[in-house]
Amino acid sequence: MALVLALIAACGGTGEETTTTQDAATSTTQTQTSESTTSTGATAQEPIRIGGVFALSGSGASLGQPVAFGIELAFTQANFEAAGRPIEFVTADSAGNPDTGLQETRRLLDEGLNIWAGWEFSGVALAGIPEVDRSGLPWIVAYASDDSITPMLGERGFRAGTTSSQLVNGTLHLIEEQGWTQAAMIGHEITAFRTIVEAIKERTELGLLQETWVGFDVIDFSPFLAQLPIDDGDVLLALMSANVVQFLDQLDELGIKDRTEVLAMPATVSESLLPEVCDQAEGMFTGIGYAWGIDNPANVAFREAYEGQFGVPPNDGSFYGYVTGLAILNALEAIDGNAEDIEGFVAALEQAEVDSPVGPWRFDENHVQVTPYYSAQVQRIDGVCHVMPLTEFPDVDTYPPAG
Amino acid sequence: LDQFLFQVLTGVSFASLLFLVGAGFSITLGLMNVANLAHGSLYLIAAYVGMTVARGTGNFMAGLLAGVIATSLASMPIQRVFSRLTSFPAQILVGIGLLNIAQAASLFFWGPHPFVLDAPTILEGSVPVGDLRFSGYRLFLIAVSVAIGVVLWLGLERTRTGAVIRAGVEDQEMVRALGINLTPIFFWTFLLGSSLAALAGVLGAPVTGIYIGLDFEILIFAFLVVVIGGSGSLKGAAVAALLVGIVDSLGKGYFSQLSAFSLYGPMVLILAFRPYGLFGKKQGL
Repeated sequence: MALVLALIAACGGTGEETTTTQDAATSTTQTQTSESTTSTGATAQEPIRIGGVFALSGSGASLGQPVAFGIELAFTQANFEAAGRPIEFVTADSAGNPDTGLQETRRLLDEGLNIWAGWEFSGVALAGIPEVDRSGLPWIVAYASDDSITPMLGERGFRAGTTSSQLVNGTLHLIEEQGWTQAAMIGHEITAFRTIVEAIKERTELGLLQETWVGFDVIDFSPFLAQLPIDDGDVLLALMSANVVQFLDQLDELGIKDRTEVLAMPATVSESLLPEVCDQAEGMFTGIGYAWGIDNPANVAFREAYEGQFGVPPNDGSFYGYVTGLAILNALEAIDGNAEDIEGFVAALEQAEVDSPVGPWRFDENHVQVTPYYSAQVQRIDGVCHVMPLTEFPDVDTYPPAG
Repeated sequence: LDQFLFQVLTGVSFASLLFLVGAGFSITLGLMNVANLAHGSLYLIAAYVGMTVARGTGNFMAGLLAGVIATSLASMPIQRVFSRLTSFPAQILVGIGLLNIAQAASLFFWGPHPFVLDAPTILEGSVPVGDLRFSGYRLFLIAVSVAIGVVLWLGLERTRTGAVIRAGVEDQEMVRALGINLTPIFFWTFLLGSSLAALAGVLGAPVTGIYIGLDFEILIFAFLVVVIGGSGSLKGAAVAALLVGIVDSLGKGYFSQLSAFSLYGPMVLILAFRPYGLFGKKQGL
């Protein structure tokens, strides 16, 4: 039995690599064998190899795939070209597993890359960052939120996605905005969510009646939900990041959602899940770095292009992937596509000004993204549920409180 | 009292699902000595197929039928492979391979995002239990599981084929010595186990949802049921499923910080006194 479980646990990704390039106007995807490419002495027409590890299989694919799609969309719109030089986007599958992610990271690095852009799971990123940094490549964390990544950025590292602190601070803004006074909490036991709960207790007046922490292996949430001390008018903090579809369904099934407001994490009411659980999620609040309903022409163009290419609506992961791709393109254009000039590329990335779907976007002096944060609500628009922004918070800090 | 009743009902409804998954796995393991890890894949694929057909036709029963038929057909070549694998490590490796193939196929056909299959309209109501509502579908799940359990019991205890299967679980050599060809029995038993996994996959979809990774998670529950109940024992599967379902539900509800213990604790305690499970014999797992 132990052997069975150990083998199951050890089961990881497939070791396959996918390379996406643009051939004429058509995006082609092919499985590539292990021929290696060297970036040293590359000519102007040699492709710029940009790659990274993402969770592309298993349950983590619902987080990893949108991030990879976002990057791919940015390159597709640039015809897989920067300053006249072709771009290859190479992805490998971590399956959301740090060990598999590290193996695949080493393989991609061995095969030759110019720029690293990847990661959405913090555990996978934290395992891979030292390896990528040692390789001397410039690297961008597309969407792994753990705060401990920021001190690791150094000279060549950047992070385009949100941070745990931004998630915490954005959530506190939302609590203050809504004026909630009493809550019960159910959440997956991860560091970021623990941090949010501690921050709520220390920095808000919200009274927490109960904290219920659940494991990632829970299939049936009903026993936990039935014990929540929720009264009419209270708010339920739903800090869930996995199996959220059945969580929302069971919350609805028990009638709890009818009696209380729900403050959910971005992953709990991800745009990509809403077509499946519109009734169950409608009306829930969240604090988020990208909301589908942001009303500006750039966002309308982004979501139309994304839905046109991938057939699903973009979520916040798609957005962070997209701005990762745009920032890379912006920097490559600034150095005439000379990706071998790492110092030049890093300097250009530091100066990059991206016209993103949420407005101007850039990195700060510590290489951390600067974007607004939003309070948002799941609302039904023309019969379809979307994450709609309520208020823009332009200055939500991406760092933990000093001290 | 309302809370307690709700937790017990929730536990029994989850136990119903565990019984369907665990019984098929247990019979296959007990008779054939085959630890079919692809049992989880069959559950998942049936759920996906059932959901697709149910949504396409607007008919839950059509989805249930399609899921069971498609998965039963898919299990035939799997049975052929497993019937040739006598070593346990080989079975495990093949099972893991099939799990990965099924996950990749699921990702390809249905994408990475999870689904929920709506319960049939007639069962969408609920029963009030204090401030909470207990879903009518979960009551239906309990009823179906009991009905299938009775049919299986009658089939195993009251038919000649059932007697051969029970004898095969006890002593294959003896059965063969009596001139009974176990090959077709193995085939149909494997198909029965797969059909039960498929049935559970579609019937469970409104409760557990459908997502990549569910195959592994449900497989762990199937193992729990077999290990606690004893391999090859229908009665063991029923008792173990009830035990796991109710203890797990009460544990999560009243001692949420110890919920991991409430799932695995009973198994450890039972195995300490009954190493082959409550109703198992000294063979198989």
